[in-house]
Amino acid sequence: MAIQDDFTVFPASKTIRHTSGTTVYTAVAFYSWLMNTFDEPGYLTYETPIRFNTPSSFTMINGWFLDNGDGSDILQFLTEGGIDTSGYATVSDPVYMLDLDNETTVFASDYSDKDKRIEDDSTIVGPLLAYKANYPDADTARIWVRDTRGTPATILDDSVIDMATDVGDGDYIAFGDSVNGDEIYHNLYTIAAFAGTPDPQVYIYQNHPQSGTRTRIAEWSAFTNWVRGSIDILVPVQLGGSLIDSGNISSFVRQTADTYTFVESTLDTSGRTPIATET
Amino acid sequence: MEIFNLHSNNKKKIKGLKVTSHTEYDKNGKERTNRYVEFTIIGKNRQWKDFMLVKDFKRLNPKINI
Repeated sequence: MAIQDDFTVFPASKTIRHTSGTTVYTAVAFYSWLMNTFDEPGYLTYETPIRFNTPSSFTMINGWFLDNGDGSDILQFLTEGGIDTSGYATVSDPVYMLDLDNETTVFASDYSDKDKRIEDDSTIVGPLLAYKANYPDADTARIWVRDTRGTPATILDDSVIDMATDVGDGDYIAFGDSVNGDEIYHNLYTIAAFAGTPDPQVYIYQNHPQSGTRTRIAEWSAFTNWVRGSIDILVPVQLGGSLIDSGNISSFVRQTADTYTFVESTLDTSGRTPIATET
Repeated sequence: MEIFNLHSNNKKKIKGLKVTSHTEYDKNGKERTNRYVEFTIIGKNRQWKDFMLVKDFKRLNPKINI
């Protein structure tokens, strides 16, 4: 499958989603595909979505959004380069990150709900860009929404949030004010020396972005960028303009009967960082 | 100038070709200075920067001296 079969551009909401396949692409291949796509006549009216910084660092610009929520998980399909964003808070249609709470209804959005309009106390805000259900509990969720109102305004704590098309998911309550600001997806890769076989399992721990609890990032070992003994992945270290636990991440590899070391890293910029691991 | 571009897998018009270097660790922990050819692609409607490793550039564009 070619890259254009795996990723889809949704111009109306300025969002790029992973929609098919299990192939992992380098960040530069992703960048090149996007630029070639936006060079086609059909995309002439849209602003450029991405900027090249170095061979391993790229920036999403003009408010373009990468959907790393449920049903897309776009970062799992990228490797060998970090990506950050620029202007999420300052573009005319800013991106908000908002936590939702509903004590009676489990967030049950599905893929078809994406790009549907979100209402804040019955006022239409803009399209739903991404969501994470059960985040971190069964009755909470996190969403990203684009504010397309003429005068963007923060969604306030305790606002009633619903989808304008009433897809039957019920109302949710904003859990805290919405936040906006740039995001950083840092590229973390291991360099390794292992005592024997099989190669050990790789563990990455980070404080949960919402609850703050130290949490293991669930591995996606079905793909080539996270295999036993080696990873080369993109990890969100900043969301909604704030670093997650100041950018702290713990990494280690572990195999029964072998000793191991672990590494504490502070990743607070975009780019690509090696983590030395050993057993 | 026209070159064969690795990422788009086709020929592209370019300008501003230059060689740059970028240092990083490989997966064995060895520091390497990778040399890239950086250039500006002149697309149908836009222009943007792209690059290739020098060895890829030479393989795909053997008639261009860099």
